Amino acid sequence: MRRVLTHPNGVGAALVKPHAQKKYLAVIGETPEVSRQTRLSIYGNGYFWRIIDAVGATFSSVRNIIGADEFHDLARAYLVKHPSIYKSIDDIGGHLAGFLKTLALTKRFPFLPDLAAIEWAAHQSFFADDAPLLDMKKLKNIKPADWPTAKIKLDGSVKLLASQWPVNEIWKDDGEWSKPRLKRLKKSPQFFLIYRNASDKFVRIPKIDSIRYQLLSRLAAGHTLEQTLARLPTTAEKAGSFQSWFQEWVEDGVIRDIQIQPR
Amino acid sequence: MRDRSENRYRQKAIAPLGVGLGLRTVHYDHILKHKPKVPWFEVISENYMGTLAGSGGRAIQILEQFRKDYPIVMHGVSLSIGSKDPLDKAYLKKLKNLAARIEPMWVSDHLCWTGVQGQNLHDLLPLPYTKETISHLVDHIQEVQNFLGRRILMENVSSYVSYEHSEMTEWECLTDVANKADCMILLDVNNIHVSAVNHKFNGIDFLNGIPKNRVGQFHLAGYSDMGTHLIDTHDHPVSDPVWTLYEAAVERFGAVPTLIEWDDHIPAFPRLWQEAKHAERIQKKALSRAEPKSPVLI
Repeated sequence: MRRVLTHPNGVGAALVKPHAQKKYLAVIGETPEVSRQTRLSIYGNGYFWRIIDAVGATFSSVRNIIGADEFHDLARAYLVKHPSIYKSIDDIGGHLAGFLKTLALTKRFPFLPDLAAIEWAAHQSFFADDAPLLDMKKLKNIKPADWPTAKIKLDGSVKLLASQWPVNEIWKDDGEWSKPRLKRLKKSPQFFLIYRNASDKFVRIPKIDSIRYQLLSRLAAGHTLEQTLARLPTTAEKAGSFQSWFQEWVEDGVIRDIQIQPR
Repeated sequence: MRDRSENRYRQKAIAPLGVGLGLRTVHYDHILKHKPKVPWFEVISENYMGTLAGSGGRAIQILEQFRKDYPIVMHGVSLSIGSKDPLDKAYLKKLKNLAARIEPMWVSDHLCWTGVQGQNLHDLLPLPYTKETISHLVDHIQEVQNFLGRRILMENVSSYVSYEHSEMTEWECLTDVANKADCMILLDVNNIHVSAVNHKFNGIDFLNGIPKNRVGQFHLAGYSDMGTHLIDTHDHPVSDPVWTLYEAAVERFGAVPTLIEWDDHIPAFPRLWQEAKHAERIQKKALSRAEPKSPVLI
């Protein structure tokens, strides 16, 4: 029954294969006006329409770039490969970026897997658990000697993404880019910080440089501040840039806690 | 054999709340700005339970804001109470957490299955009406009620297929399940009409087959008429045959809290509000003819 509903040809297969017909259709009642096949098809079609609609809402930039028809086919193929195992319809789509890499569609839109990845990261960031803001008293009371071994905890909404394309700009415009504008896209290394703003709860995706990307990646991996800052090239940068970034990340809710290690 | 008597919770009488509305994101701004005098709102539980990524952010924040001004009812679509799969404990935990946070007047879901073998079809699929099904449903409902520590309401779904091996009518099955599990019924009047047309039964027989003291809420919605059958699309106004059936339902069950559902092609808030006002008028008319009823306990 499940495959009858979750495969695009499921109802059709149930009609033409005698064993399937017996297995699936014989248990269903019918009336002269509405056949068993029609009745089952209502569920079979509904399955795809409902989920494709939900996946389209999550990946609206991808949908707007390739168009509704092509997105429908893409999402349908995706659902056959990755049927939903989730209670929440919002959890469907986690494999779409990887799935896109296997498709010829990426010849026309090489940035599409990265766009899907950034949309999925934004989607996850939107739903991430809430956490208390950084306690400023705690921050002020940290002794200078404790800073090197301190571990900085990032907000649960924080994701980091490296790409060859400015997919954050496409995401920001919800994929509403004209064909000429898309043609002008140039490949170059890009780094993005994805996080949910602490005050308005909306997701932001600023472009960051590779140094900040590395710093945040190391903090997210649980390295101490000393280990993290060892990546910075010069002492001046250690003193200046990091302090200003730190302040910005605290204000935006990117940094949520500082854990002092016991000596 | 499980002790059926374990499932007794402190019950409270439902006040005659009138006609509420389904809370939908497109109306958030209007409601926050104008604070319309809607007696209560129903929310889809899953929209606020979060995802695998977490349960925070804007969705729950806004719901808590609404909760300050309005009573809220939680209505789920993914419990899959009829599935052969065991109940999803992680899902139930999230549901319980949300209920603790929002303090809804009651919690409901559907008498159906939504998936099997770990896969979810995200649809409300009908069950065969057999003794085996009833026993399975009763066990599952009691498990949910024990876990949540509260009585739940189970809704009749609209359906397009029926099963040749069903042993009884849908209303007989629903009644038996509700009595044995000691749960309440959310009677979806639109679903009764849709299924009545699709399976050729009389909606009034359905109403008359349901015990008067078990109905805690009504649903009203619109459907799409496909000529030979109806599809429960929730994208139209409530139809005349459903209003007629609703009048009969109010006459039988009394001033049960009623909800207008509109989930697709959702109109501007004032249009939805008109629909609620129409339901209020019908309720008043039917109640003038009905015998006084004891308050329903949930």
